[in-house]
Amino acid sequence: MSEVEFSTRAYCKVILHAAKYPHEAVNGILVSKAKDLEGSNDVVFVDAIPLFHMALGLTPMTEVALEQIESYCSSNGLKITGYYQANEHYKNTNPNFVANRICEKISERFGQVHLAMVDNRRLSLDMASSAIVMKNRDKASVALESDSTCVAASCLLQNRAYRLLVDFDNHLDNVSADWRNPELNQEIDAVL
Amino acid sequence: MRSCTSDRYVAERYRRWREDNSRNSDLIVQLWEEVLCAKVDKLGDEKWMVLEQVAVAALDLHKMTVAEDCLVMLSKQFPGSQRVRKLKALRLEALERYEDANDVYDAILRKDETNTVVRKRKIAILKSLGKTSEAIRELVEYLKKFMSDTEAWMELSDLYISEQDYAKAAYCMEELLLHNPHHHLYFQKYADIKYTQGGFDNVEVARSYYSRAVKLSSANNMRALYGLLLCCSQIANSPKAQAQKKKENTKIGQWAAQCISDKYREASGSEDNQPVEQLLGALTLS
Repeated sequence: MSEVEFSTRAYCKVILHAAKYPHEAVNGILVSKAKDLEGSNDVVFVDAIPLFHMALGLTPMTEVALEQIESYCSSNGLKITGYYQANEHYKNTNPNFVANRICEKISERFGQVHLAMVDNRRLSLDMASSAIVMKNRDKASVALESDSTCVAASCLLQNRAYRLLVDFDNHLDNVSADWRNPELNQEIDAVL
Repeated sequence: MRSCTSDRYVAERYRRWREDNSRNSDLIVQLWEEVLCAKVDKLGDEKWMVLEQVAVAALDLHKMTVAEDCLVMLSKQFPGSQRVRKLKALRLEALERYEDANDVYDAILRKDETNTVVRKRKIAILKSLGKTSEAIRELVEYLKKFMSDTEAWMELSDLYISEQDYAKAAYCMEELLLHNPHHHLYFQKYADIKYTQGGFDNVEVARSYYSRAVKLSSANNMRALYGLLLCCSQIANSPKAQAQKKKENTKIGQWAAQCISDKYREASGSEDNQPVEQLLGALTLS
């Protein structure tokens, strides 16, 4: 059985995206380093790219985003390997048609795709344990990069770092907002 | 020069959020705790509006003590007020005591059946319970009586989208377009739905609505520009389109792509590798 691991950067971005829009569903893409995937079944998500917090069920802007992300990945030695979603409903961790459809599309183009759902109930200021459950595989739990990953997520939440996070919706509202999140990346690196 | 944390400045920001209905719960509560809480008496009559606003924001964040403090002050000032009663029911909702909240709402409606906010809260409870189809049914009933409630039409459209019933979601947007035929966001969303629905005819409809949205927004709506580009490239590549139509759509698509590149150039000076051209061979999800 292959292992799935979240880097601190990827994990924190997923959590911060959910925290920035507590009343809405959010989704995004998880990427790995292309060379790490060669000859190994294990997957390490090195980064997360936040997509939307409005109208997840409509496809045109998702197509635009995936196209841009794909081109970003191929020029940076990355590969799309996963998709994450936090549902609008507090207790619901089941993937809906949006999650399934996007995963299907990604796997048509890039092979295996992992589906990560955020368990809203486990989001808190101290983030004691991983708030992510994997779907479509035997093992629901995930490995995190290190013990300090949860601590980092907690610090960032308390510093309200989610206000720095830019998703693709923010980018479409204002194209100078960068969905690669250079500013937030620095913040995440600094907290470690 | 006022400092950005002075109470008057904060009160002004609160006022702006109340007017445009922004849900900045996190900021509202932060500014309340850091600035306004201690100085609320200086606000005069505006105090009560602020307390209501903070109460709702605090419930949104599940900061129960903050919300309860506000509720105590409000009920002391306005005993027997239906508006305060509604806030208390909102607290019950936040505590997941949905039945109790529903009882309060029913009681309010017995006194005042035109209270639209309370009617909508009852529908929101159905949504919290995950009963989407019931919520849709109730919202349809509501809209038969209050058909000029644009917020409700928007919500109904979103509920239909979550049920993948795009034809009905589009119908709701048509209602909104009748209400305001100059609103580019309505045109854009209608087009988004039509595009999601898919098929040659729907994409053609989407194209004309995206065009309208681009025009009404003076080419500032990025979603509409991207949408226009997507539609044009699909039509231009479709075997169903005649030569003339292909030519026309290729031209419009190129124009949209140019507008998009211009936006990126304006925003950054020189944004690296924005893959606009590659979008013409875009990935389709429908």
